[in-house]
Amino acid sequence: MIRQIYFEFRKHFLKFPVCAAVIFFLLLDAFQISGVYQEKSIFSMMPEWRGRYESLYPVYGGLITEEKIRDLMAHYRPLKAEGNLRPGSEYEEALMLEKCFVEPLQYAYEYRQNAAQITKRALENADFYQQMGNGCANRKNQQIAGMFSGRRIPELCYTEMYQYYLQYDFSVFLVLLLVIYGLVNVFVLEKETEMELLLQTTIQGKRKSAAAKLLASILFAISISLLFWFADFLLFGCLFGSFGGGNCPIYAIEYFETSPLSMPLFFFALFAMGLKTAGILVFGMAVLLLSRLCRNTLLPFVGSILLIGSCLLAYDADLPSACNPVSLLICRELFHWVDFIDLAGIPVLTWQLCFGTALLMLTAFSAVILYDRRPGPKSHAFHIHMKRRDTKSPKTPKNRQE
Amino acid sequence: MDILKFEARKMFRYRRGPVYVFLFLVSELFLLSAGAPANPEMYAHKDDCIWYLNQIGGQLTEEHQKFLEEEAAAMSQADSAVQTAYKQYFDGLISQDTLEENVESPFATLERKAGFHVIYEQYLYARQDPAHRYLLNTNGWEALLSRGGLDLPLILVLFLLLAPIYCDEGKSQMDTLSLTMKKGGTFLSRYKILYSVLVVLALNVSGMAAELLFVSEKYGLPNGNFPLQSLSCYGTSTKELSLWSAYFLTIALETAGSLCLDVFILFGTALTKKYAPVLLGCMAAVFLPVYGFSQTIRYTLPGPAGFLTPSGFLRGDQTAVDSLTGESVTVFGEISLSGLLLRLALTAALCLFMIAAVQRKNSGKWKHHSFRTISKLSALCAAVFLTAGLFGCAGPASREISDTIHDNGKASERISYCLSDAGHYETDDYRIEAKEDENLELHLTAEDKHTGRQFPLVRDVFEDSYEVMPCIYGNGNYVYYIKMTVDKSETILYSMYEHLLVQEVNLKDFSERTILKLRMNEKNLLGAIFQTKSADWSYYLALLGFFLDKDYVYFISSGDISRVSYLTGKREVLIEAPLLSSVAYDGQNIYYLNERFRLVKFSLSEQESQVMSDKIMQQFTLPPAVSTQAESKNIESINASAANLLLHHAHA
Repeated sequence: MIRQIYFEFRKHFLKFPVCAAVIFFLLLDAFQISGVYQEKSIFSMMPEWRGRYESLYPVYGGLITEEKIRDLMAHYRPLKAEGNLRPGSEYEEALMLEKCFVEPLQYAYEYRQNAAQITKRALENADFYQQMGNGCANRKNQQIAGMFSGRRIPELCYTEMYQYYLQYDFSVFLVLLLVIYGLVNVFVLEKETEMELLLQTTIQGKRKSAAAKLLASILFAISISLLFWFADFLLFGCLFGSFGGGNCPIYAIEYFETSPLSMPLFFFALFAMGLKTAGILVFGMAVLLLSRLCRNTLLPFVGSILLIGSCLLAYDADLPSACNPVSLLICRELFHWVDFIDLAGIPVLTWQLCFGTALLMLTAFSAVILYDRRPGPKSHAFHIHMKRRDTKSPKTPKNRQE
Repeated sequence: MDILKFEARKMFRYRRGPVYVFLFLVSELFLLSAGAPANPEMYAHKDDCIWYLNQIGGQLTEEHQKFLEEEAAAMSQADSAVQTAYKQYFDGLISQDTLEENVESPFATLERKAGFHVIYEQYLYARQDPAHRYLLNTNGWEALLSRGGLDLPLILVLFLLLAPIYCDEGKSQMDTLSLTMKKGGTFLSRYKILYSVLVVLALNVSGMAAELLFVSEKYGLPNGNFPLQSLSCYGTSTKELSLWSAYFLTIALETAGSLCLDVFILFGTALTKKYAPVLLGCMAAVFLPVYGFSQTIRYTLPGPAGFLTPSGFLRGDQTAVDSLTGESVTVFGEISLSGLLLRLALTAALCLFMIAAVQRKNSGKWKHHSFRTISKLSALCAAVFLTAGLFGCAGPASREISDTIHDNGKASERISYCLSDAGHYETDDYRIEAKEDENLELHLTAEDKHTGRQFPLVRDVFEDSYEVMPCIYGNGNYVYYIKMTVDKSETILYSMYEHLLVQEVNLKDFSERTILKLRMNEKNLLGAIFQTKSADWSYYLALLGFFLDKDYVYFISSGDISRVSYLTGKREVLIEAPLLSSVAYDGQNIYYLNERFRLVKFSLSEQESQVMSDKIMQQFTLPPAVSTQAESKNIESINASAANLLLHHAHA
């Protein structure tokens, strides 16, 4: 079986055009990421800040202590008062301190208190709902209290790289294109050359070969996705000049202030990669299913574009997205808010539901691909019968003469 | 000629050509009819605007400026005259007859106020460059000229129709056969290219003719000789073009773009004889520059992408403000006419090279392919099923919301909502109120009538991340309120709010859910692939109140009442009236005071307004409990009591 999977993989994916497309898209991705860096990073807008930041980081960065805060404010306040709005070196210094140290430090310092407030309110709510006899809301608030209790940001880190890496999803678009391109051929290739009849007569044919194709396709989708996600990560790290901040909790980035998760940023990056890959796999299996059902490449290709386009539009129009795999592709939005969905009185976090439906869809698609009996013995006979009828019909010979 | 006929028969009889063309035309028409006018206010007050434009349309002269300024002064004078007159009447200083006399001439002046407002806005824009910016009805021209995105149906139908021209025989390796024929090879290939060009031209012409007809019918296309800069999106352009010449240039460029795409497809299919790599390449060539990269790159690269979105070639410089330093930065530099010609020549050279390559490669003889009906049907079913499945459960979920709201309405039967009570709602058990505390922060509090205990209604634990609006709506055991979530991502330039949520609270167990969610800022999806228009958040910030039924949420602001559908999230203005101070809703009708302070009933089922009495009133309320047993008498009884109550208030 492994040999067969390897063979299918080599046949469909280890081809020159696929590899060339992957390399070309990687280059495009790198180009786009450098654009993000140019446009958004503080240090690309103010290159002279970087040196100053690096010299001040050991003084004010790292573990947050009362002493460091006092030193920083003693440095910052006079500058702010004197520099006012007059452009000059003091003004620049004050602006740099504000953007790079004071604002992040303030956020980090206040977060602990905010989280404690949220926990307190959630516990109050839980009590209130218990009195009202609303079990579901009670459980929700208890979960929230559990999530937020004891949250704090102990360190001041440079998290700009993670911030923009987690906001970046152009590579998802590229991977989707590549996956359509790779998978749309998998079942069509033999049909187009009418070789699939031959396949039926071999021992390894029929379902075994379908299974091998399916597994090879999954392998392809996963490897392409991971290749791009890791390339993104490395490129972001190199361009922003730091991989640091990976051990800060996810809520150290302001966008994830109310996130239901509290894992470190590095693990969240890995986790997001997994979710995105799951989303890509769902679309990949849909493409594969179309490829299984059609007899040439054109229709499944255009069908896949339509399918993905309509899912994107539906997501963009804010239609309920729990069943829409695009929400896994843009997974940062799932972790922006603590968002519950009631399933028969049990509160489930939206990302869990999204992930669950994606898994369900994956298994359903794979099952249909595997257990679709066409072209089996029966339909094979039917196919031949249709062919005969075709040649007998008066139209065809006439056309041939033309 | 025979070969052309033969190619046409292949495309239209054996490759489902008519189906694709039909789908293309249907989707084009659907997209056109679904599009909203660029300036909805001008569309709504078209007659008034045209009345003004007939007088002062065209170039802005001294006289026109004088006329507009005088008219603006007259309008504001009339406005204050009306207000003074009514104030005097309500204070009992003048009688109704005197009032009628006093307000007659101001109202005559104010008759075209809404239209004047639109024209005045345009005047403010035109005043900055009177030589190039003329006053005209812009909606039609904006619809034709300002589209920034791709014409997706056209591109897909081009893929479907053109890719098989070479691929069909190539994939079964019959193309070599054609080389052996007398009229095969380059001869056949020449006709294939000619035929594909004809198809592209026909599709383009039919699509554009449909667009032109539709637009001229819906919005009208007056004053085609006015300069292009009259449209606000071309305001900074330095090209001396009239609107018609700009339109013809646009369609010429778009046709050039489709022809270029055609050559790309033919080149790829003739060379590789495979669908997948060609389609991937063409998709990348079209979609990536448009959605992935900046405009500068899109219009610099030779290829179809720039020409398929031709508006950028006519635009002027675009600037944006740097968020860190506050300086303005040029985002997109205008492309000069010579630059456009250079790009066109480059792309044409590329296309000629590709055609030469296709001719060199030659092509083969066509082989008939039969598609099994079953696979066709199953593919279609699968596509429909998948789309329906993946689309999310939009239909059922919204339906569910509507059903419960409908039931609520039925259960309580008597709906009586008044704008004056927008911050207050009472049931048998609870009293809900919007209160400001000493720090001027707004809280919605619920009070248990039996125990007197007070507690907050909004129980969201993330207090920093949202703001509550000071209005509530209650219906039976359900209370509705509006909250706006605060945006903390970097898109803060556009709006500080992320979503507007209409929340429903069940007073039985205080469970809460969202029934309407409107996005307030731009969403960045897959690297700015979609940039849909976000809702106008400033409108929602100034809300006075709201109410809802099973299909819509109705928002009341000081100048209008508009409704937003649960399904589409689109806002449409229902009623326009200045100074909406008193509004009521009884489940079927909206009652409000028009500009002459007369009570007007707006029937939601018939979408018609009707002035109910000649009495002048300042305020009115609906009686809280109207007997609704006799359905036919329901409205009358409300009318009567409403009028009575009104009298009561007006002369108090």
